[in-house]
Amino acid sequence: MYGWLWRKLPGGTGGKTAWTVLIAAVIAAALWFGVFPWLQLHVPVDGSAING
Amino acid sequence: MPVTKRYYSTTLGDHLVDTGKPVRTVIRGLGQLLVTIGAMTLLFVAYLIWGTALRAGDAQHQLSNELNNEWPAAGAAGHAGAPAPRPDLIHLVTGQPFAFIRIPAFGAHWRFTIIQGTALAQLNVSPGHVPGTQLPGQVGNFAVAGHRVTAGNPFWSLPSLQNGALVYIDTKASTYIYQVTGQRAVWPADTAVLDPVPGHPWQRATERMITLITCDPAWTGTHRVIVTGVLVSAAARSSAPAAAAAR
Repeated sequence: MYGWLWRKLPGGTGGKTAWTVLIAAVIAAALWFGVFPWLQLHVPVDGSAING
Repeated sequence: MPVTKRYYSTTLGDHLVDTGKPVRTVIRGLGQLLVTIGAMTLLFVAYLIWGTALRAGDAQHQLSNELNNEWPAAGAAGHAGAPAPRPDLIHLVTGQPFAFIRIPAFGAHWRFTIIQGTALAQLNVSPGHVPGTQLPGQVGNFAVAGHRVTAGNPFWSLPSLQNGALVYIDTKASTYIYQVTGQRAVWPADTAVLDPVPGHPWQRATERMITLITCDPAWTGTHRVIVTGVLVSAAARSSAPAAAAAR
């Protein structure tokens, strides 16, 4: 998976590294601001209300 | 330090390369997938600890400002500490703040808003008033739930609250002081603790109670710990805006 990605990325080692960091940052941001807030509503990490 | 390199013997090696390559590709892919999932899980844990706290912190700031802008400065209506001038007229809107909770035992600056509702959408930004329970100062049971972990851990220290500790509730007109009388662990579905007279749904309430609710043990949804208290004082609001300035 990562080997394939590394081969597909353009540029030399420096360019590939820059692309890798950029892609990782975009994915992390999507998770942090999009997926996690949604996921948190569905994972019972802290049930604090009382409901029948 | 000698570096040992291992070469496969030609026949065996060729054989291994030929049939082993797809297998190794699959295993490598699986390994990378697991590492990726692990990294994402760690990121999610980081989000639960810091991300939710940041979000709730922003929300608290906004909600506090909302109340402070809406409320006249303490003492404008009557002098601070005077008897509560009139019954509080509180308009409840889900997600909207209507009071502050202060617990000096948690620190001089420990203060959160109380908003209406206890769905996750509300608890993620502020402790919430359990719909259907009484309002601050009323005869019956004023129930407030809050996260123990995530969202800035508002009720993290709730189980350490000792009997006799004071809980301050500031509303637009009044400051109500409750004194803690006990705590216990209950099941999440134990709605009897929310009754005006807890455990006696048909009894007419005579006491003015508060019930604070959070999860127990921390990081789970299996139990709840509740802290109960009774009203010991009601007076014109004294100190919420001052505390806000100190924030």
